Amino acid sequence: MKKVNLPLDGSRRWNGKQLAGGAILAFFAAAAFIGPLIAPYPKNDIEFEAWLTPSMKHLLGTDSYGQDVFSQLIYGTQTSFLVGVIAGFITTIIGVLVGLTAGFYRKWVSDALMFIVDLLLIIPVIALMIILASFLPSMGLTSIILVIGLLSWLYMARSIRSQTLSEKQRGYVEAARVVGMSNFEIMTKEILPNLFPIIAANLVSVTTQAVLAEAGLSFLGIGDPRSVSWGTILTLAHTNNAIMYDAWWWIIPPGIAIALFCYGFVLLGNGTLERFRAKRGAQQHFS
Amino acid sequence: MKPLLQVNHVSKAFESGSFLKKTRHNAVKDVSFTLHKGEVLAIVGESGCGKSTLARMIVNLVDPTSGEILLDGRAISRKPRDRKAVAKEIQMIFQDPFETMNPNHRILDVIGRPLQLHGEREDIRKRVLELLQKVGLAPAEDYIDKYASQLSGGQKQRVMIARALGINPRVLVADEPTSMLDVSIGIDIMNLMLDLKNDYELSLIWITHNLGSARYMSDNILIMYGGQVVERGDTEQIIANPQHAYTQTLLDASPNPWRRREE
Amino acid sequence: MGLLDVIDLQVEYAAPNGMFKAVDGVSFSIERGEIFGLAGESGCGKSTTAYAISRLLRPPARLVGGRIVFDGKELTKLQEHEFQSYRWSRISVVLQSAMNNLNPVMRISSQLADVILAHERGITARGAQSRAEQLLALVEIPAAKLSSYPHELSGGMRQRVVIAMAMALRPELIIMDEPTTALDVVTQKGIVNRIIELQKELGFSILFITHDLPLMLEICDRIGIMYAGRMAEVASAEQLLYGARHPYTQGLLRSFPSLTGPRVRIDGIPGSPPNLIMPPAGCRFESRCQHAADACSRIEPSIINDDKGMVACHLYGFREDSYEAVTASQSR
Repeated sequence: MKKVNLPLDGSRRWNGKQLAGGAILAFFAAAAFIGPLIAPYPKNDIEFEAWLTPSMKHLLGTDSYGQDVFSQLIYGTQTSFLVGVIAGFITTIIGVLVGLTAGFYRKWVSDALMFIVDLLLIIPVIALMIILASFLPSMGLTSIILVIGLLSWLYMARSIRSQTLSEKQRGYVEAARVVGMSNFEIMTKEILPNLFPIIAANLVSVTTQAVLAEAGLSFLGIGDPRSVSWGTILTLAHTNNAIMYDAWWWIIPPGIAIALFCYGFVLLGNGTLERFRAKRGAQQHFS
Repeated sequence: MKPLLQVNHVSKAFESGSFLKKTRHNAVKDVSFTLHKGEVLAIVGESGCGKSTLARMIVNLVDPTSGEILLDGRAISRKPRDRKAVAKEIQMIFQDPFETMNPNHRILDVIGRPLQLHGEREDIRKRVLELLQKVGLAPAEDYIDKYASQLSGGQKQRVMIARALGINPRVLVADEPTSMLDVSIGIDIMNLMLDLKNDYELSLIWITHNLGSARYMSDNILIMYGGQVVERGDTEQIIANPQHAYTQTLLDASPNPWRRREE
Repeated sequence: MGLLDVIDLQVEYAAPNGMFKAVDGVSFSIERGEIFGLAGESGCGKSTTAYAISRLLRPPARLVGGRIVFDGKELTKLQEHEFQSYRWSRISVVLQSAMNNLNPVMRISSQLADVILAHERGITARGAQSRAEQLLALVEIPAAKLSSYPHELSGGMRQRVVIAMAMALRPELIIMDEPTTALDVVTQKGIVNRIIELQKELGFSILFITHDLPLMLEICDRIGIMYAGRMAEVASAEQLLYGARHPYTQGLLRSFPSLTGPRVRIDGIPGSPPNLIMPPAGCRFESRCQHAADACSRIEPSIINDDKGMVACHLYGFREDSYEAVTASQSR
């Protein structure tokens, strides 16, 4: 019999969204790690005249302190990138661990874990971040990452738990039990891969939130004053009345960088989800 | 001959509701039977008669409230650490092949993981190919890297049979494995299971609501109603000459094209 | 001319990987007072046919050709609002899942009364209510249950309510798509018996769709067997039982293990239905057919209508180009 090749075989490796998102993130990753080598001027160098408009010498002009905005932006990329990726990573690990365990085990394990999560959820996270940030001895980059990472897994844990609860009801879990798999194997090998879409969706929002939180904390002046990030650039612009000086080059580029960076994550996340669904998608029934 | 599997006075009650107002539902009440090597026993009843709960107790998915199930004269252990050992002996084919195949796994994983789990050290891929061939999925290379969504219902059910077979159990419990499939596909699955039963000297418990398929498959039959066994015995005799009123009702209700013509 | 004539019906589906015809040139007719069965396996297009007749096709399915003539009127030419006067009052539908689609917060008798009120002019709320109660009595819902909510009833009882609803406006045709498939055999038996009694009493026609061929043979007058979007054979139940002609019908009949007769090994139908996105050139059953000859894979079987019914198979063909196939298969 003649075989028909369906375009489901995963023959196409990447879809458009993944490529676009990946390209954006690769661009920022390059800027973060190679950037300091190619930045025109050293970090926090204040030897130039203030409020210079963009020119060939200063691609994005200078700020009120006489720092080259383009160079600062490149150094800032590193901070934002690290915060987003590491905080996202921490969040995912805790969120998946807690959510999966709470969803899989019944009764008291689940109840206890969810009690903790619910308790933490009613605390306003931004306020807690501000308080923690102001009490911690040094508010370096590490502290920022930890504060963001340790406080944003709650929603992730909740959504992973509810998805685990519904996956647990499905036939393949019972089938896995019958062949003799242990709870741990069922959780990690059977259920976890099916949680991928929900993890990816959460990861995207957590990472973007982390980048925004860092910018927000820096903007409020709680971040490490010595480190440079997109948030601190915006803070300085704000406190030095950049708007009144019409210094758009000081405000718009970091804003665009934040937005584009987050958009890259969203694109990559959505694209990956689409591919996942196309490959493993539900079979269509016709009658 | 000593029976391979003995089910002794097994009952299962489910409790539901809050702790203030608990309701008990007796799904299975005092069921006993034996299964010999190479025997096919059909358990027939309508939905809610307890046949699926009984099956789940035999394969160690549900613990009985009372009674015991013996394999080779020894009670089946319900301890979590013995789960693998029980699985080695008793396997199950489920009703819904669309649900029991993990959508995220390739066929290779679906059949190969349990093989690894039970200590297969050989080339897993080669073993999986053999098993696929055995259940009629040929050429096996065409199937081994596919996902569940790329197979039809009948093919999925064959994969699930290959998976159970790979573990090399002695007892196979089949819980209505053809009820979600088209009839022409279903009959193929039944034939396959009969062939494999002979090849592997399996003992088969065939759970169904369809007396026709019970007659096709089994040597002996158990009719269940309301959690209890109402009639048991040789399949041919019971279908030809039912004693219990419920068996008679069930027979009368089964579609029979010849009936109208006879009137 | 029958009550319903379906002529060369074509329904197209847009699937993620291409367009295909779920129903491709199906014709049959239903007489007044007849129970006509449509059987076939999943994907054969039997439900799609029912949906097309009752105008329930929704994208990605689309009616692309053929005629549906009901009582001399061509339904395919009617606008949606014109068809409204047919729905419920002349043609009604019972779907498999209908019993789960009853309004959960309305008592069953009120739901039924609502249908009557909405479609029948000049009836009072009181009148509708009493008609509803009569109808529920007709499908043997006990008087004590008349004002129950759907969740208080068993699946069988709910399906009886749905059937009462379908009969509410005395339609001439009731389309039943797997009406009892989700139910146990004993429940099914009760409902099917009642349907037949009512059909004899009230004289409506039924288009009965199921994959359960034994059940169909027991209750239907005539039966159409569909395969891969086409009609393979149409014949009376007796004719099918004693002498089915299409190899697919024969295979399907064989596939049901019987409760009587000798216990022998049954060979089902090997293989699986063709992919409808790229249907084979000749007979669609060719790859699974034990009588297949060379011509079968190349030439579409002609449709033979005779006193035994209709069959689309080269084995019975008299067309010049199918002669080859007949001789080839006979010489085996």
